[in-house]
Amino acid sequence: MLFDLSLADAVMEARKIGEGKPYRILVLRQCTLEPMAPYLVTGGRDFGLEIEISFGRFDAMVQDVLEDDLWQPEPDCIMVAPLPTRYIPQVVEGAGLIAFDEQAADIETALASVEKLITKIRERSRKPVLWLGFYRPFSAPLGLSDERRGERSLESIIRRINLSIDNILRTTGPGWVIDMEGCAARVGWKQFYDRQRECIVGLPFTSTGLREISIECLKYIRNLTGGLKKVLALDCDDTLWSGLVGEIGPEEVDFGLHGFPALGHRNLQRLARCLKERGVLIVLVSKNEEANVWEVFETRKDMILRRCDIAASRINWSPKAENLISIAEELNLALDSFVFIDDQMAEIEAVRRFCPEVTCLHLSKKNLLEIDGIISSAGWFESTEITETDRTRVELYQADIRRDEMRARTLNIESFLVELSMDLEIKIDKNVDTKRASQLCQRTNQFNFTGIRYTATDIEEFIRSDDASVISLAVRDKFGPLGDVALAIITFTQERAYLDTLVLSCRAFGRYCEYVLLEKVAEISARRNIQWLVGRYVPTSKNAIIRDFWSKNGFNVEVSQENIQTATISLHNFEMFYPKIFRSIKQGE
Amino acid sequence: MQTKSRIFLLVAKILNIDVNLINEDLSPIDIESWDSLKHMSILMALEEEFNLTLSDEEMVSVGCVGDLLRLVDSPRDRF
Repeated sequence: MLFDLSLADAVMEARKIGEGKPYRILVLRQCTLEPMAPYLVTGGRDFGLEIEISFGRFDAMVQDVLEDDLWQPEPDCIMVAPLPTRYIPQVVEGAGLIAFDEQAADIETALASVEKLITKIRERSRKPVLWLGFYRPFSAPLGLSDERRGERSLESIIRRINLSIDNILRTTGPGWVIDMEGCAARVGWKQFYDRQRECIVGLPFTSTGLREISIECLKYIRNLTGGLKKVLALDCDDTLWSGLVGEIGPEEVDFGLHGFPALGHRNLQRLARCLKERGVLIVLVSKNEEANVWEVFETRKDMILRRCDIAASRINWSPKAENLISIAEELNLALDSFVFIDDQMAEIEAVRRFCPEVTCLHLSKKNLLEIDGIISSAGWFESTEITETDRTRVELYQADIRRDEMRARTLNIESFLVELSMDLEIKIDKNVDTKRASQLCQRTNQFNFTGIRYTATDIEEFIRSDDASVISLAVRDKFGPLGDVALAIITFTQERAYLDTLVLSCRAFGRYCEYVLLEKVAEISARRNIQWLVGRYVPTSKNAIIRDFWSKNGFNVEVSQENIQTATISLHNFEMFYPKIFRSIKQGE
Repeated sequence: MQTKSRIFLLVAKILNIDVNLINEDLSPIDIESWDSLKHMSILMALEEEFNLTLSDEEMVSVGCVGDLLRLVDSPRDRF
């Protein structure tokens, strides 16, 4: 993990030749940042991304936006690295020297120039922008009295400038301000900032600082490229609490507020609970008598993690790898979206061996208190947005499990689906919840024909465009709502409607929702007098499940050399064949 | 590991050359890939490996691998 990698080792790692299409980052900068490249490249490999970095010229950000060569091929992400001392010198150096009113004018000027730069970048490319935020100088110009100045203090001025930049980014397209002060605080200012090197070679950060900035940037990049984990699998004894419940009983296991290691286990519970609120599924994999474990959950009122927070569990004496595979099947999620935490090295090794896709973290006395920092640095669960679906995800999956039980009881699948009494709601263009739509693009790997990851801003743009349409589909059944589970983005030309994106959440597999969505696509296209509907299939490592979808459904399929399918069907004789199992289908207003 | 072999290994990693090719007299003139950026990376990696902070005089004084050894061995205040 990047967390404890030295610069020399990162350089070595980064040099290895990668596979797959690179993710290009263009760095526009006012300082030397080249030594950050090995960290970004190595960190990207942690989640299977081959990062390629190109640097603009030193202190030539505005000119570089106009430099055509730098933008060919188009970067996937633009990093902007301004130096506070160069970009907003009036603010940084003026603090304490000039009156606050005059400073307000300087801040205005600085923000106007930020806005101009961002506008120029957006004209050049609609790709996400990561702006390395401004940070305070090492010492406040007014010393201790700066603290007393409230909103006039340099600290709060810089914070406000960063917030304004974040706002400019957010309103013009995808983009975020990287919290540099947070990075500095985590490693300590003295270990982060290097004024001497800034003077000599224009590099203001130490290698420790560069690593921390890379870790922060990679969280966003992981988010943008769909590398997020979805499940946290936890052991119980000596993980959720200290002690073995089977030996000392539920009253004696310790996760109290005082002392080590009890407090560490308590923190882990709190972390798991927070992650659950953020939409991560928490599952238990423990070698124990099941009743003992649930007794802790039910009798110990001081437990932070509750039974209702647990999406699934396997508490038995079978090998944990087997249990993880069975949970993955139950939740219908791939094993590579799992993170597994256990205090027993032997269990970790066994899971690594038999389920190499699962990311494992060994909990030891040494790292127990650092665990939140480690998980945050790894960026496994760092979503940039939390949607309503995230907050209720565990309920969604628990309802899924009840549905499966009913399926097992029902004789055939169609009567089961009818019994579910499904109500569908189709939302078109401005009715679409763009945050959730973007999440469907980011999180869906299996039923995803093209693997393109759009941000909410991209989707808003499709909605605004006259030559495109966005359709989403929400499902509710007798066990509760499933939320928005399918999304289609279509672009139109005179004769053809292109299915740019078609994704279906794994929760809704096998319910024929995709057919309803395609019918709607056809209907909208036909209304524009369009003759042909064109779909595509771009193979990725996870979407083999839908490889034959087009051919099975009467599309005429052509396969290119890269195995990309182009599937065409005439809208004149378009008909989808699927059982009529839905109780109602309505269009949202 | 001896200080000397740690430094040799670090330089070899960053310059991407065999560690056996490294000796105390080796300098940027001998190795084509040892440019200013690599030079800086070596100094940064050295600080990280030995947990020290180099002054600007010290950084400017480095002309060969032997100078790195002397820097690490010289007495200094540590954080």
